[in-house]
Amino acid sequence: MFRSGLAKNLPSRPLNLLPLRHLHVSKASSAKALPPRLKIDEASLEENFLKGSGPGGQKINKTSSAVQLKHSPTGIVVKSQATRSRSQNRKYARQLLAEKLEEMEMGDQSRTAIKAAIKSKKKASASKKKRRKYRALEAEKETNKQAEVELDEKLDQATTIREENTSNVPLPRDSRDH
Amino acid sequence: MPRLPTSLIRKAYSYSPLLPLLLKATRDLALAKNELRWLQEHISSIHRLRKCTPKQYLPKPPTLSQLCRIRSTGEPLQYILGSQPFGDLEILCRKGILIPRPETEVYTTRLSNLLLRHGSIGNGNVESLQILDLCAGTGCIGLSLYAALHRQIPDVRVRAIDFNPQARNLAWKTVKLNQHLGRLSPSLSKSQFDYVLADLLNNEEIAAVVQSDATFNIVVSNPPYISIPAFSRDTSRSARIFEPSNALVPPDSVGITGERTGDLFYDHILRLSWRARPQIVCMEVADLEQALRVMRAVKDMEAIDGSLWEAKQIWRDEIDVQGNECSTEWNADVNAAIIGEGSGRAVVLARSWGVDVIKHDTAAFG
Repeated sequence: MFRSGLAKNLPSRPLNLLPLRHLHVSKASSAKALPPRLKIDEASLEENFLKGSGPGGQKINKTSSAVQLKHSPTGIVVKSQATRSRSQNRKYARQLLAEKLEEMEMGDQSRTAIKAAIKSKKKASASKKKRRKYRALEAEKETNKQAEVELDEKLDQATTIREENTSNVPLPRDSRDH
Repeated sequence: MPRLPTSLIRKAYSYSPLLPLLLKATRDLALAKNELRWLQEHISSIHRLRKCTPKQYLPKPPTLSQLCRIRSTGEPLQYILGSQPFGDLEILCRKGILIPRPETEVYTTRLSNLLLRHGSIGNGNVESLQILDLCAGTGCIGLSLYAALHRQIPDVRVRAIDFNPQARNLAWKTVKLNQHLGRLSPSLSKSQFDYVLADLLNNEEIAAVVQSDATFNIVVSNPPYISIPAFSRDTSRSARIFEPSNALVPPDSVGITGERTGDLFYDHILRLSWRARPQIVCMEVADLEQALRVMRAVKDMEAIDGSLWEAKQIWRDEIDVQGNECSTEWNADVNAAIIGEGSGRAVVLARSWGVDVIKHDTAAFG
C-alpha cells in the first residue's frame, strides 16, 4: 500500500533517520476550496529585527530572534518569536500579517473566518454524533434493564413454584447421613 | 542585578514548575516560556532519532528538568541545544567557540541582500567573489554569505581565518550538517570554503596564509572587541562565564589602557585590507564610540598612505535588512554616514563597485 503509487516517486530518504510512515498524499476532501492567500507587497512592509533590544553584540548572548513587521498603509504591527530561527519567524510574521489584513478586508469571507466556520461546523456535527450515540446507548441500556427486571420476575415466579413442588418431597437418604 | 519579584516567580511556577529555573537565566517570562518550549522540542527530537537507532549505541537522553537545571546556571541555551540558526543556516555551537549573535546576523543579511541587489541590477562585474572572513570562529558570516550568494554569483570563494583548530573542525561539521539539511550546496568543498589556521595578530602567520599578491573583494570580520573595563562592566554573566574570553576581549597589549584595549584587532584588519584591496570591508564593533574610533584610525591611515575608501558607513543595530532607505545622519568629522537606529554595530568601508553596492542609503549625500 505504502510502497505503491506515489510513494515510488518520493526521493530516497535516509532510512536510518526517518521512521516509516504512512504518508497521506491525497488532497484533503474539503467541500469548497479556500480563497487564495493574500499576497502582501514587500515594499509596503517595514521589517525590524532588534527593535528596542538595547545593547548587545558580543557582550550579551541573546536567544530571542523576534521579528517585527509593520504594514505601513494600515499601521498594523505583528511580532513573531515562535522559533529560534529568524528566517522562520519572518515567514510566520508575514503569514500572521496576511491573515490579519484579510480578516480586516474581507470579514466573513476571509480564509481564517472560513476555516473557523468549517471547524465549528465539524465540532457541532461531532457533538451531535456523540449525543446521538450516547442516546442510543442509553436507550439500549434501558431496554436491557427492563428485560432483566422481567427476567428476574419470571425467575422469581419459577423458583416459588419449584419450592412449592419440592417442599413435599423427602430428602434422599444418603444426604441425610452426612 | 535586581532581584526577581516573588510574584513573577509564582506566576512562572504556576505555568510550569520548571519555568522558575529558566527565569533565573532569562529574567523574562515570555522568553523563559519560549526557551522551555525549545528545550522540549530538543528532547522530543532526540527521542525521535533514538527510535530509528539501536539503543545500545546511544547514551541515555537527558530529561527536561536536567536541561532546565543546567540552563539555570547561566549556561547558554545554544551550547545546550548544540546549535544556533543564523540566516538560513544552522550553525553548530560548542563550548570554547563564540555563539553567533543576532546583531551579526542582521548586518550580514543586509550585506548579502545589498550584494544580491547589486548583482541583479546588472553592473556586470560581479561574477566571482572572493570573501575573506577574519576571526571566523564558527564561520557563520562567511558561510551564510556563501549560502546567500552562490546561487546568483557563480564563483563565490570564502577564505576563513581563525587561530582556533576546534573552531575549524566545528565549521566543517556545520558545513556537513547544512549540506545534509539541503541548505548548503553539496558541491561546497575546500576550494570554495577554505578555513585556515592563523593568528591575525601574528604577522608571519598571516603572511603565510594570505599571500602578498592575494586580492579579495570583501573582507568581513567579527574580531574580539570588548575592552578590559567593559568586560567586567557590560557583559552578561552567561557570556562572561561560559563563552571563551579570547573571542570577546583582545589580548593585553603594552601601552594600551582603558576603552582602547578593545581596538587592537582593527589596526591589523585595516592593514591587511590595505594590501588585499577589497571593494568592501565590514567589521563588527561594540558601539558607536568604537565605530568612530575605528573611523578615525582609517582617517589617520589615509593621511599617511593616501585615500583608499570612497564611501564610509556606520551601521547601527536597527537597520533595514533589505537595504531599503532608513534614517541616516552624516558625521563630518570622520566623513561617514551613520545609518539606522540603536547601538553602532558595523563599520563599512567601500571603494570601486563596492560604493554602488552600499550607496542606496547615502544617495542624499552623493
